[in-house]
Formats: sequence, structure tokens, C-alpha cells
Amino acid sequence: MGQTALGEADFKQLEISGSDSLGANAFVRSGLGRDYLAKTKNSEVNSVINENNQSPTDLGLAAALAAIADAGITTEQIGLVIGDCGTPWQTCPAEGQRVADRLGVKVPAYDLAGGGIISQQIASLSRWRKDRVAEYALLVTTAVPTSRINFVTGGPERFHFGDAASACVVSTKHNGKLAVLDAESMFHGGGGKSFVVDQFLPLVADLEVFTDVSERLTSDAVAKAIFKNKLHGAHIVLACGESSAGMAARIASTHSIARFGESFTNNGYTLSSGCFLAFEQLRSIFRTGVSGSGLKAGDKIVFAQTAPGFVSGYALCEVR
Amino acid sequence: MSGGGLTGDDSEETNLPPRVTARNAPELSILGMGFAHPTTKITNEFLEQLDIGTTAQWITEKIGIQSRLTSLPIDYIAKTRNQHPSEAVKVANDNAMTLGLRAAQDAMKRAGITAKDIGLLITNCCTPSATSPVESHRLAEALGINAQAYDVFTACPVFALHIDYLANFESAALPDYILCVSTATLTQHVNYSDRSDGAIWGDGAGAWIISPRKPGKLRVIDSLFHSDPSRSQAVTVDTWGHFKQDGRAVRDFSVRQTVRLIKRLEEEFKLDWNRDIFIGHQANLTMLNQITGNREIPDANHWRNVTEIGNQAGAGAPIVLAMHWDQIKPGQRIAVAVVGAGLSWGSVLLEAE
Repeated sequence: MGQTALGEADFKQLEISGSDSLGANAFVRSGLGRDYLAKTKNSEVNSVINENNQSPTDLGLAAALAAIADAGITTEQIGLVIGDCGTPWQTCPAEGQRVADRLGVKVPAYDLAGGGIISQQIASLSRWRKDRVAEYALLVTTAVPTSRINFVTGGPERFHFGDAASACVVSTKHNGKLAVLDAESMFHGGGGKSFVVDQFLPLVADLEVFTDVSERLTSDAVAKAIFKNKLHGAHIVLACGESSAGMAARIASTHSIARFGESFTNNGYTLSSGCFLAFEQLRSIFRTGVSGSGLKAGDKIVFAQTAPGFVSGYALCEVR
Repeated sequence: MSGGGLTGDDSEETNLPPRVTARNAPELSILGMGFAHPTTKITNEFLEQLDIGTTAQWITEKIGIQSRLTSLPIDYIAKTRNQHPSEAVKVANDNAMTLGLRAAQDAMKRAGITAKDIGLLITNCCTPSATSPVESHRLAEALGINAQAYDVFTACPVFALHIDYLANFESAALPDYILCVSTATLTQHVNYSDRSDGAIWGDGAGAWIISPRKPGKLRVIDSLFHSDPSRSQAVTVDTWGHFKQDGRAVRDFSVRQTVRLIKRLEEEFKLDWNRDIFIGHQANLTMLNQITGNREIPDANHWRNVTEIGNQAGAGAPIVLAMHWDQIKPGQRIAVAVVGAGLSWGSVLLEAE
């Protein structure tokens, strides 16, 4: 059993339960309708708002509902909604407000955007005073990058990105399946040169540079989680938000981590949902869920990813 | 203009988060503020000349705005009425980032600090040039800030959200200097064939430096932020399109909710409108006058800029405060009550040292 390691003295534990939702249409895991893509190839990205296509909010809502069910609560118990979206179909209101609207909850809602749940939101909330976190707070990150890709003129990004949303319910007052022990977010800059979702133009990515930097920064984040929290032994598990194939395996090898979950091969690069997709893969591999015999109580899961910007981060969680 | 329902529907006040008071909040202070505007003016006479069914007299009488500042060339608006916002960004003289950059530099100068002192940058922008990376990342790079940077976004009531958001933290978890920026170029998303929307909007950016431990000119006494997402589609900016709003619904909500916010501050903090100052969301003068009339706030203690600059979204209220920075008197309290997209609302009570 690994040594339990808390963060700073003022750190307040968050309890977490998570889920995810993928684009329903299995074309590079796109939220876009098959007929729409076949007919238009999304050659004019500004025509994507279409009832046959899944918006980021559609995916965010599905992820939110799954997370709420997974947490065993009802939507009425949610007291705060925080959103994030790298490819919104409206730049106002906030994505968190759109998701909260679709959930039917009249509670404070806004966006903390720039790193997603793992690289930003949990790191922020874990530093709040305990009485300021709602009894149940819903965190949602969603992106439909395929809606910003011109499948006629686009390059390799046509086959690299996938659409997904992820959500989790966190609480400082109730135990969950995972206890957040530590979380960090680090802004590095330089990301605008290799990845941009322009307001009006198709997504532009220098995938070679982006994936190289992303992997290095994610590996550094994992190293920081291990070093700061004095992690060792076989109880470390990596849930890696991948931006390229094999990234999780390489990072796990670098840090001598035997168990890891991947997100890229089956989903593409989803901007901000990779960690949760990797976690779902871990749960699927072990077939028992986090409370069963696969992932064992006391296991330390390092969720780590790098978001466009560049922003890297990790959340270290212990399986209850 | 309808101002019905000043007492409103109490259901909007349900599920309020815990309020921040001096008893349990970090001791947040505002050390400096800055602002930036483009220089091109849209007058009421210009809008009348567009021949879109409005007159300068009607605009003055109905919403009280005399002119607005825009990042767009006036000839472009006259020629195209901005039917395609994707074209606007190509001809604009400023964007949200360039305005935010100048406002941030102004705020840091007033606070007597430099970019290397900033330990956290948070930004609000409803008209970003790109949605990923986020506006904060672009600003951080442009300013040379080597620290945490991310967006905290709700559009118009962001002055309340940013301060209330920071009040959530353990004091020790916050750095000495936090730069908050709200920037928007809504005129690039206005359809100038619409006589209502064209008369409302101006562009601008406001910035303010907050510290949890360094003394500043203004101390945060109280903050509150809340929202009713069931009305999230009442005010929208399509990523590829124009600003849209349900004007009547938003107008009534704005007046009613602002009055509520002020009433709460009056009751809890015994505001004295002969000395204390009110700043509201800079939507339009008629709405603000309804609010100040209801609360009997004298004109001299109602600070505003909407008549000359237009509605600057989330930047409006902080810019008003920044423009009056040198007029603030010791002991004076400033009540900022802001409302807008989300629909969301909030208030901040400040006291001058």
C-alpha cells in the first residue's frame, strides 16, 4: 500500500466520481452527423450548427447526466456548475451556463476555461475554502474539434481529433469513489504557435510540435505528482490524456508505472477529456469499477494531461 | 421602456451561495485599475443616416446613449452594416486582446507593479479571436506574464464573478498580485441593420489588480455572484454570427435584479447615498435611471460612462470605476451591481482606505 500523501497543509480534499460521453457517430468519434459529413465534409465550418450534429453542449449534457448518475445524486442536488469548452458554438453565454440550462438547474454557473477539468478546474477548487464549495459541484469539459475541421482541405488533423465531453461531481462534504489528494495546474505558454481554434477559420495544428511538447509537459506533470507526493510502488496508476498514440505507454515506462490507461487510439485527441477516457479504459480493463478488485482501495491514480495553451496539470486521486 | 416588476419574482433568489463578508473572506484589495477603448465614434446621427428605422432623437429619448466607441472603421459599418462578422475581424483596428493588453498595462502602472509581479491572470471575454488557446493565454504571452492564466467567464457581471471567485480561495493559495481583465469587442458582432442592437454596443477593456495581502486603495467588503441558467439563451453571441437578445425580458430582469442587489447592500451595510457611490451594468442610461430613481440615488453619486461609450459588456462597470479612480474619497463606499448574460448577476461592495 502506498503511503497516503496529502498536499499542502491548507489543502481540502475533494471527492470525485466521473463519467464521460462520446460522440454518438463513429466517424473519427465525431459529434457531426454521418449524412452531414458525407454531404458537406464540413467544408464551411460556420455551417456546422445543424440539428443533425451534436454540439459541445449536447455532449456536455450527456456527460453531466452520466456523472450525476454515477455519483448517485439527482440534478436538483447540484449547487454549482463549472464549464469549459475549446470549441463553443456560442461565445456567450458560458458553456457551464448552457449545460446548466439543459440540466434544468438554477444555480451559480460559469466557466473556468483553459485547461479542462484535470489541468485546471480541480486544481482551482481544491484550493477553495471548504465552505465555499457547493455540497455537490458539477465540473464539465467538452469539445467538438471535428466541427472545426475542413475535411476537404484539412491535413492530418482530419484523422487526429475526436469529440468528447467529460464531467465529474465533486464534493468536500461527501465521500466519493476517488479522493483528490493533490492537484496542480501549470501554464507554460507557447501553445498558440502549434494549435489554434480560430473564431471563424478551421482548426490549425502543427501536430508534430504540439504532440511533442504535450508529451514532454505531461511527463513532467507526472514526475511532479510522483516527486511532490513521494509516490512509489505498484499502487501508482496513470490515467493519461493522450494527444498521440502510445503517449501513455511511453510516459508510464519513463516513470516505471506498470498500470496505465490510454485515450487516443479509440477516441482521437479530444482536447480535454482524455484523462477521463483513459480512466474509463482502466475501469473497463479491470472490469470491476473502482470499488472492485481491479483498481484496489489505496491505489493512487495520477490523472495527467496537457491542454492547448500550453497548460499541463495533474490530479492525484486515491481509490477508496 | 418597460421597467415592470421592480419587486420581481422571489424564485430568482433561491439557492444563493454563501455570501462573502469580512468575517470569513480573504482580505481582498484592489490596488489599481486600467481601461482601454478604441477611438472611432458611432454617433446617433450616424445611426440615423443608416436608414434602419431609427432617429437620433428616438435613441436619445429611449436609451439615453449619445455615442459609442468601436474598433471598426466607420466606413465599413456604413457600407456593410456588418452583415458578416468574419469580415469585421479583418478590418478592425483593435481586437479583444489588444484592448485587454492596454487595459492591463494601465492597471499595472497604477498599481505600481510590473508583469513579473503578477502571480495569476484571469480573463473574461465573449468575443475572443480564438477559442483555444483561451484569451488569458494570449494576454499572458503578450504581457510577458510567467504565471497561472485561465479564463473565468460569465460575460457582463464579471466584475462580481472575478472578485467572488477569488474570495473562494484560502488566502495563502492566492499570489500577492492577481490581474483580472474583462475585454470585449461586441461591435464586431452587431448587425447594424438592427436598429436596437446597433444603438447599444461599444467596445472596451477594463483591468484591475487584486491582492489578498497587499494594501490597496479599495478594500472588498462583500461580494456575491449568482445565475439562472434557465434563461441562458436570452443573451447570446453565436461563434460565427451576431449578438442576439430577448430585449424586453433582459431589460425587465436587469432592472429588477439590480434593484434587489442594491436593496440587499443597503440593508446589510447601511449605505448612505449622500456619500456612497453606485455603479451599475452599463446597459443604457434609461435603465440605470430607473434603478437610481427607485433607490433614490442622487445623480452625483451615480457613476457611469454608457452615454459616451455604449454598453461595453463585462468591461463597462470596472471601466467606470477605473475612470473615476482619482476621484475616490477615503471612507467612501462603492456599490457595484451588475447583471447580464447567463442570465447572471452579482454585486461587490468596496470601501476606500
